[in-house]
Amino acid sequence: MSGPIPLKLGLLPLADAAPLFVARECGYFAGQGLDVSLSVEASWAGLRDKLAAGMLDAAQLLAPMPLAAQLGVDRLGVPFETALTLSRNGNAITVSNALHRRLEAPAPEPIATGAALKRVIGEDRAAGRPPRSFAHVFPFSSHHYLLRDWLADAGIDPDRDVKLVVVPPPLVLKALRDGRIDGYCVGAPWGYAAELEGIGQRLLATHTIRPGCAEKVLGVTGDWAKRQPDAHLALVAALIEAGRWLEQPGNRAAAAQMLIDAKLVGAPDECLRAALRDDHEDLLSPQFIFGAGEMLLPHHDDARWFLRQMQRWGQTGDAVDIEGTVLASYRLQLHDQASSRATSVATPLLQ
Amino acid sequence: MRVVLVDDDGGRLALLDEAMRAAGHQVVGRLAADGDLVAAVDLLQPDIVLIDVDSPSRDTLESLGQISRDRPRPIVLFAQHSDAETIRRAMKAGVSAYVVDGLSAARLAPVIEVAIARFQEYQTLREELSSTKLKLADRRDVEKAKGLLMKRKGIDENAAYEALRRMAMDRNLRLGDIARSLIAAAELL
Repeated sequence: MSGPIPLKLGLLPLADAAPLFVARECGYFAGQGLDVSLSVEASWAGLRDKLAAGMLDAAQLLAPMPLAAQLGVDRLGVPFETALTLSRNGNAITVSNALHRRLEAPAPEPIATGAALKRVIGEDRAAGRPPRSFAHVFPFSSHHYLLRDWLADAGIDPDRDVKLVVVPPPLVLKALRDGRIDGYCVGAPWGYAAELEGIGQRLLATHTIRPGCAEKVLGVTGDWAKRQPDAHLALVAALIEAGRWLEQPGNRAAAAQMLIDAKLVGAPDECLRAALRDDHEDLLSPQFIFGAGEMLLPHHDDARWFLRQMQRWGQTGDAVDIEGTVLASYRLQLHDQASSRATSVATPLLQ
Repeated sequence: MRVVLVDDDGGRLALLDEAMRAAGHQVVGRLAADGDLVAAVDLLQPDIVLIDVDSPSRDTLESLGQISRDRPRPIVLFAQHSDAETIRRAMKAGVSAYVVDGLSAARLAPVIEVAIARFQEYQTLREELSSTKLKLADRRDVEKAKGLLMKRKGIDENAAYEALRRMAMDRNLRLGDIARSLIAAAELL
């Protein structure tokens, strides 16, 4: 018998990297015969390049990235696929204190906040002020599409009425502090971190825009999946177990502590604890879903929505083979195979 | 060619700057990773942006890859215009590049080669420096451990060195490592 299979798994330093740390700390990787080393990367582009070049075996990807890679619109053209949704929800739209005052405390839901922003944009224009800048994290990200969706629904043209830019999460606080941006749609803990520092306020959490939107997926190259079918299934199974563990009452606090101990995120510890706290009363909380029943599946509805957003905002031409792309990148059958290997302890709370 | 350099490592930035100028290119901007890259690209109109593979700001450059009203010539990852072998070598050296879409491979290749060479050179320098630092630390700790042994066992310097060397050999450790564990043990007592 041979030893555990060594794998290198890439991730970005955010609260929703929790399943990867849980799988390591709780021994789910080892239990599936894997020796996984986690590699903290600095950018989505860097993560993608290393995955494409084989310097990483697998990676936590933004949910639209495998679709962009499959279509080649990420301009790298190495097809990725996923058999697992690692997390859903988790982003917040945060604005500077100055903009927050102008918005006059709208209720934290899309319609009231959107209407308030439209009013302010109108006032700005009448006063001859330059358009407001909002940041997101990557061209092919839920953050980008949710931000555009919220703006467009409020009658704000994301390409003309505001300026959209990309700022990496660890640099958003600085950009907000320096006044380079007026707000951002970024994952936890960076919304609450702005409040703790006293430089911004969360306006709304993205689960109020599209509830349960797929956020991060486990990505591998199509080529790697073909060469290492067993390792792939074992990896997915271990992370299914970790996701289920995260849905057990009381485990989220322990997961937050794992991220704190790993010194993963350069934000106050309290931000990470709050990010993973399962507080359904607080509309502004991220409300992460990690492993609740069917939520782990790479649902084709999510993929179709992302592809339609890519078309809507001109990232792809109109002649996209939506169903073919979905089938090639979101691998439901592989998920089912892996799921039958996930034998862990705890049954999920929500079935 | 108009070149913009983005790097938080000041030493490497200087090396690269010099090499680019020597190769006849115009370095129109030098930025740290938290600088305003979008404004810099709009203002400086570079043909190529050279950036550390592991810079968080790569995602910002990535977003300039779409044609828009403001940017009729998008900025794309150089990988599109290069062969797989060059991409692999660049990533290993730690350099990535974004170029104006449509830039010919013939014009791009020499710039990329200079960047790869300088990043590699810098990597080697850094490794040499850290190995020199380690050697100095080893020498210091071996001296200290010898002193401890001489005092404890009442032996002379040569005997202390010989004892240390034997301990290292028996445990298959480097002399510096065995010296450090001896010092740590002595501090505990």
